[in-house]
Parts: sequence; C-alpha cells; structure tokens
Amino acid sequence: MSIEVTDELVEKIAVLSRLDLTREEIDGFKEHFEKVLQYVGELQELDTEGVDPSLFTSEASNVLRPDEGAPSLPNEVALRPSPDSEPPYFLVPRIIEDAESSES
Amino acid sequence: MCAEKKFDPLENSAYEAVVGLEVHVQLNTSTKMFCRCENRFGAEPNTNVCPVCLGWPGALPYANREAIEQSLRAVLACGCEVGEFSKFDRKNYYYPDLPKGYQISQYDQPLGLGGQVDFFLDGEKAGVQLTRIHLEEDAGKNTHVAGRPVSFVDLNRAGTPLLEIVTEPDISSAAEAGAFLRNLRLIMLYLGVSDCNMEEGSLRCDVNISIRPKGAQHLETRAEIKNLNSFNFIEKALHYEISRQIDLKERGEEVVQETRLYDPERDETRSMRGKEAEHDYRYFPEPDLTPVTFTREQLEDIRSGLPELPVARLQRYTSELGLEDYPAGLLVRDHEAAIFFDACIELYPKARSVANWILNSLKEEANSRKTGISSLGLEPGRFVDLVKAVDAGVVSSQKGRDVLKPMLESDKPVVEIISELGLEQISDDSELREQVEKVLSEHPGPVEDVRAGKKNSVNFLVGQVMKETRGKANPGKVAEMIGEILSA
Repeated sequence: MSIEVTDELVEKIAVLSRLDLTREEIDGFKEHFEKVLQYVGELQELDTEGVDPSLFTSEASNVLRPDEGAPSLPNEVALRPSPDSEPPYFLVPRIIEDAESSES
Repeated sequence: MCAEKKFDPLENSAYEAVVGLEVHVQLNTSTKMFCRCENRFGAEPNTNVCPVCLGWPGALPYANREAIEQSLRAVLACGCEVGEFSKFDRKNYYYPDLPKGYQISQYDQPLGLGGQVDFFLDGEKAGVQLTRIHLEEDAGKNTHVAGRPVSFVDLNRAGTPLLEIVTEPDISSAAEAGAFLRNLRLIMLYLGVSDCNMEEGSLRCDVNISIRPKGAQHLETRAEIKNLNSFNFIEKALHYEISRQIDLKERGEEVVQETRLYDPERDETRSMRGKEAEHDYRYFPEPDLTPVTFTREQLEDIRSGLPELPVARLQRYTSELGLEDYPAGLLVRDHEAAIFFDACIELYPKARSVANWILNSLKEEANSRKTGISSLGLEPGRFVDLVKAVDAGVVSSQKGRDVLKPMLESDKPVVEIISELGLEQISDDSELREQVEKVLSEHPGPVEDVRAGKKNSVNFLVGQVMKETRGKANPGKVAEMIGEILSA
C-alpha cells in the first residue's frame, strides 16, 4: 500500500495545520513527504501476518502520580516565549466571532 | 416542578426529534490531568501553567491517579462496561487554546463503554443509553474584546481533567434532555467527582439533533450545538433548533450538517462557519503515556464503595422511610441536604420530622448565607437534638427556628440555648390551663362560635394563646385543652 502525494494531500495537511503555503513550498513538501513515506514504507516489506500491532514502545503500564501539586511558572516566565502577549494573557490574531473554546 | 406550560414544537407535529448529548464534566482533582499545576477556576490568568500544560518542547505528561479513580467511579456508577485495558490517544487539531497542537483524549479504548442513566421524567422512570465515557484534558479559554484584532488566551484550564459522557441518540425532547442532565449532574455530585458548577463551566454540553417523520427508524442529517452551559439554555436551544429544522423540512429544504452556536440573548442558534474546516483529527496512541490496566478486584472495590445514586435514594426515601414524593424529591435534588438527612436519621429515625426541619429551616439558613448545608458546619447530632426537643414538646416548633440560628453560631448544647433564650415550652398543664382560660374569658364571641361548631374560631383562640405565651405553648395541646374546656 503506498500513498500518492498529490497537491491536494499537501494542501489538506496545510489547512489542518493552519498554514498558508506558496506554490514552491507545496512542491517542496511534496518531495519531502514522498521521501518520508518511502523510507517508512520499507516496513511494508515485512510479513506481519499474525503479529499484534504494538501500540507502545515499552511494556510499562499504570505509570501514575499522586494528586499532589507543585509550583507553576510565574506569569512573566510563562508568557516569555510567546510571540505576543499582554500580561497576564497570551495574544493571538483574532480567532472567530463567538467561540470560547475549541474543546470537543 | 411547577413549570409553566412551555411551547413545544413537537406537539401535534408530524416529526419527532432525535437527540444525543456529549456532556463534559470537569473533575475536581487538586491538580491537572498530566501535570502538577493546580486545577482551580478563577485564578489570575496564566498562573496555573507549566511546561507540560503549555506544550513546551521536551515536557512530558504524567497521569494523575486520582483523576483516573474519579473517572472509574463515574464510569461504574453509570453502568458502563470497563475493559481491563484503556489507553490515551492524541486528537490533533490547531487552535490557540490548545498549545500542544493536540488534545490528549481517548479514542478506541475509552474507560467505559455502554451504560445507562436512569431518571424520573414526569413521575415516570426513564433511561438514556450511553455510548461511552472517556477521560481527556480540557483546552484553555479564549476571550475577545470588541474592536481589537486580537484574542486573549488563558491556559489555566488547559490540561485539567475532563470526563466526556456520550449518549446514544436516545432522547426525544428538550424536557427529556433536561431531566437526564439534571440527574447526571446529581450522580456526579453524589459521587463527589465534580462540583458541576455550570456557571464556571464544570458541566457543559454539546447537543446533536435531527428530526425525522414520526415513527421512522433511520437517522437524518443532524446539527450540533456546542458549549451549552445551563439547563435552561439547553432546553431553549433544543426547542429553537427543533422548530428551525421542522420549518426547513416543511419548506422542502435540507438540514445542513454543521456546528451551531446558541445565542441566549436572541434565543436562537446560529451557524458557526469557519470553525474546523475539516474534521480530521488523525488520532493515534499517545506515545508519552503508558496505558492503564485494572484488575477485576480493583473494579469490584470501587463498585462496592459507590454511594447510593439519586434514583435509588428517592425510592428508599418514599417506600422505606415513608416520605411524600415532594419532600423526598427536594432532599434528593440537593445532595448536601440528602447526605445530611441520612446522617441525621441514623441518630434519630423520625424521617418526616428530620426531613421537615432540614427542608424548611436548615435550608433557609443555608440559602440566606448563600451556601450549601454542608458549609454550615452543623453536626448532625446537634441538629437532631433540636428536632428531638421539638418532637418532645420541650420547645414549640415555631420557636425551634429561633434556636437554630444561635446553634449555627456557637457550639453550645441545644438545651442550653433553649433555656438561655427562655424558649422552653410551657409543659406545666396547670400553667397552660390558666393562660387558656384567660384567653377564653377575654373572647366570648369566638367562644360562642366554637360552641356553634365553627372550627376556624378554634384556630383564632389557639393563636391568641400563642400570642399570650409568646409562642411557648404547644399549639396542639392548646387546641386540645380548648376543646376539653368548651365541651365540658
């Protein structure tokens, strides 16, 4: 099974990633994606008949912590790496009219 | 409920509504789901944040055991099937309130599958089937100020534990959705896993809704209304949306599959265009977290530790304790009152007296302080002492209320407060008889009326005695005495 990297595929991923790409960038990504898929595609040659998918790289389970707090970052430290802020908030280009949260 | 008759778009309609809900319940752990930041509403924006919940490179999530245990309580209480293996997955999308670019959620192996929530609708027992319950992290919060080309992002809520409860499209009216949600909220309150404070967003709901010709079996195109955070809005939004879809069909137009937003000011839903252009979340297993597994014994332990749920409680109150439906319902709907009630009747099994005193007097005290019964800090034992004192005739029920207030302000024994206030009921019959005879001699008119068989005049005379004794007489006893004297 191989995936054909088309303009549409790159454009769809760009939309999902909230990126505006130029023609040159689309061509660049097409080439890049093809290489990645080709490389990973080598795995397809292996016979995995009867082998369960391995969802995790370790066998560990239930690595859980107690519900105990630790200090958070000071506001100015939290905002520092952000391209734009107005303490105590991060600032982003205006999203849409009404949505308060994307959580779904 | 004394609800006024509301407009129901489905009444006499050729259509029926098919409604499914996605309910989000914020768990009340001390810390967030995958980091040690505080899980608290109302803090200064962006002060409960750390490299993990801000999505800084290299920071790794570490799952909160308490959140998983709370979730399992909820999942088992809702009758879901719990697998022995559950895992977290990444749900990928870009939005400013989601700093990692993905939400840690659960995809194909959630904590709970199936399940059913029972409740009462217009006095009849009803049930809604659940599809699943999973655990995920919440996103942050965006706000906007009119006239500025920016949005403000607060990530305090990002990464807090959120339980998502998904129902089957099993609901057919706004009233049913409301009854289900109220009961689901109560279940979560009894379980102690969430404060379910809707104003603060700890209980939010997305509604999926379509309509179809009455009796049809297929599902038609649905619209989704997002982020409703009051029972009132949910019911109104459903009414509006059902009407809108019926209108569309009757004009021969189609319902478009889309996300809509309810505007409470205009009482209408609006299309939310420009949201996710595509729903392609590219789920995959979260590689930074281990799966969680449970043994049958662990699950059985949790199940056996679950509190009695609202429907069972209501049935016990009415059939075993002999409470009327109305006070039983009032108690069950206020989980703090119900828990206090149960503690009291352990000590003094006169359920009706205790229920009465909680619902009439104690709740009034709590309401006037804008708090719940548990925050009053009253020991069930002291409260029961008051109810006993009234039942035994030590203090009149009218004056009992005056005892309650000082009880909440000091630790003094109830009898001491009663005697300090001079509120002991007149228990000496001869003293009481003296007062009664005095009142009778002062009111010959009403006395004649009583002799002529007018019952109301007895009440008048009892009132006069109560006034005369400043409420310290037992009104039942006074009425009895008046009857004795006048029939002699």
